[in-house]
Amino acid sequence: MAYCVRCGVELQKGLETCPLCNTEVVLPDDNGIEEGMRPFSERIPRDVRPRVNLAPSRAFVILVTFIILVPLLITLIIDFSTNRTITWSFYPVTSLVLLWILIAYPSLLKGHTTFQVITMDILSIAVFLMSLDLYSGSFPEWSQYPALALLLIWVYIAIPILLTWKKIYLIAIIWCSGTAVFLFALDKLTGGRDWFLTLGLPVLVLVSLAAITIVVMAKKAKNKPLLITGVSLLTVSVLTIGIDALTNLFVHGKLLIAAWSPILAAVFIPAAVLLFIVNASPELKAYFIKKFHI
Amino acid sequence: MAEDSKNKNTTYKQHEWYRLDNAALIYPSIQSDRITTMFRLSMTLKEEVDPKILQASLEEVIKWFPFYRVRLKKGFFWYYLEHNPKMPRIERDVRYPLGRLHPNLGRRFLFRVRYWQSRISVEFCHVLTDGTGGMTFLKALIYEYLRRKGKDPGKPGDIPVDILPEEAAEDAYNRFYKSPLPLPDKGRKAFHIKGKMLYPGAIMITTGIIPLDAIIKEAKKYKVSLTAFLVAVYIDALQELQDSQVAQNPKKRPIALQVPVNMRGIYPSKTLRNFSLFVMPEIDPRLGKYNFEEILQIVRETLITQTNEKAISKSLARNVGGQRNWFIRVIPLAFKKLLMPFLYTRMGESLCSGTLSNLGLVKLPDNMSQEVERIDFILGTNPINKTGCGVCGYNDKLVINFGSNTREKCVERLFFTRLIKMGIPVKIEVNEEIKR
Repeated sequence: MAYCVRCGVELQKGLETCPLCNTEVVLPDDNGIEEGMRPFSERIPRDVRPRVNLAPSRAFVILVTFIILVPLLITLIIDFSTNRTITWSFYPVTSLVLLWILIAYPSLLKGHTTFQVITMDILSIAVFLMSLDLYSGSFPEWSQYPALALLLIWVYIAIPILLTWKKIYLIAIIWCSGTAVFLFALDKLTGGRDWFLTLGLPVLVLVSLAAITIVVMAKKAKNKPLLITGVSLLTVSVLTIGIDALTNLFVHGKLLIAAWSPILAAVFIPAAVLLFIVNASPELKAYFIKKFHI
Repeated sequence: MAEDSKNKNTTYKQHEWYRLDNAALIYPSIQSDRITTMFRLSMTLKEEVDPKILQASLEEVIKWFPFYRVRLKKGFFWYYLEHNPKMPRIERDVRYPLGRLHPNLGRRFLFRVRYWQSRISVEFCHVLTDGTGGMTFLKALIYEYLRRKGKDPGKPGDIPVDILPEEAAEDAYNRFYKSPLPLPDKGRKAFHIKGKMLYPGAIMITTGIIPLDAIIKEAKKYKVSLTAFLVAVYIDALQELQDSQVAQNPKKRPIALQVPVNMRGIYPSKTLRNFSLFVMPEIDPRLGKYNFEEILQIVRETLITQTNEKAISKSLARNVGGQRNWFIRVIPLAFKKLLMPFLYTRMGESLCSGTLSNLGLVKLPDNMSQEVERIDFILGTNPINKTGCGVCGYNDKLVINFGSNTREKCVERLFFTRLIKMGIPVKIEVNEEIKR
């Protein structure tokens, strides 16, 4: 039996310090700690994260279906009884159908996946917008733009899910080329002077390169936030100079650097240099932590 | 399916779902990694636990407690408990007990049965029941376990051995609610222990094992009940802690302890769901330092004056009145959920500095008590109070368990050294890693 000399309490076998006051135990019981002596198991509980449940229950779907059905029928009946045909009720009815698809559809899929749900949601919104466009006048008038944007969003979200976020570089390539295709399509659809090859694509390439540089850098220098910030600042200044030059080339036909990107660089580059210096010197680092701790 | 139809033939009608009782209403909305809303009861047997027999006993016993065989579901206005057709599974015990229930609550049981070496523990979510209900379940489980193990546990006495009657599932709060009564005082923000919290899910348990006769002798010396004595020691410990942290008297906060009262002793109910309320003995250190006798007197008088039917019915009226208020009832659950944590901190936890729950002296049938070595009662923690104290007496020992989510054991040390100074021997056990 061991006692704490300070608290006076009797201690469980095998303790080297008193759990209450941290005083070292004089003459600890070192008869060996048998497994049976421990008051608690050694097993650490597993950490369980909640899974996002996209699908509501079937009962909920039926409830929602009927809640949506009521206004839908009312609008249809009112419209039909006054005009003898469907006129304005097209808009509320399609909206309600869209609402139903967004809320209730996921639970009708057996063994649904996030990919399926996102695909279906984006597709239905696109179809909804196009149907509005179609119904209101000459088609296509405006709906191709949001439809394209939705397609791009689908590429951004659904493709990585399909690849389970594993092949990061493949995903990055798909994102970049998807954006390129989107910009090219916008260029062709809007007409006028072509800007894709001379402005859109080069800017996209520059932005992608900068993003990849920052991400790779951040991965390599994980525990050096100063270094990461410094490199990011440098990359951004180079990027802005590049964008500046490209826009000038596009607008004026000459490769000159106008005033705005050097101003940004004048702020960012000294800041980056300061960060590099601080990162290299532990003394400076300690000083900054002392002065600016939150 | 076969089981369900068998259940229907007996006298007890299997309910498809249950309303939450009044005390349970708040817990589903506030439960998180930090506020686990759990408590734990364990019995240490004399022999190693046989998991297979334990699982079989659990599958039998859970049929007797149909109101525990439920899962938590969301309604549009309130949560409710739905019959869970699955069977609960026993688990191996862990280092840090009382972790929150699985986040996918909609499919799981609201309690766990864990075993380790010779100990069997049940961890209940407060949505289901309070300490009395939990202890009844544990007794029934151990009784059935011992019976199946081939031991003779003796006559069951008050331990259930068959499907419980309908009245065990009643919401007694609502049954004894009386139409509007004056509201209880609002109270003032109390002193809280400071300290850096451990990561969510971790809990430091400090167990003090005390010879029952020594501590009862000491309490008798002051002519108070054991609960009053322990509460006074706890308040005294907290007073010293606050004195060491705050120098000026006017800046000190009141020290109040939540002491749960088993309302089955006040109202004639046999419910095994929640039926307890708190009384709060309180001292105001702005008025100066209290000596132990003064604290003891305040605690004793609070416990006497606040635990009669009249005083309790006031809190009952406030709680149940809130539940019955139509303005509150028509708020959809999604909005109620936003409101509940606020209510919980403002009206509950921030008004007290800690909780001391005394389960009393647990009595087992003679033959059964020869197989059971020790009974533990541990409370879960919350980020405001940080420490909770569960007390349980059995045979010749009083086991005091402090559960804490900070590493510093100031309160525990102040509490136990006070007992040591009175000449009461204390043995300490902890769940920290034993350094070799």
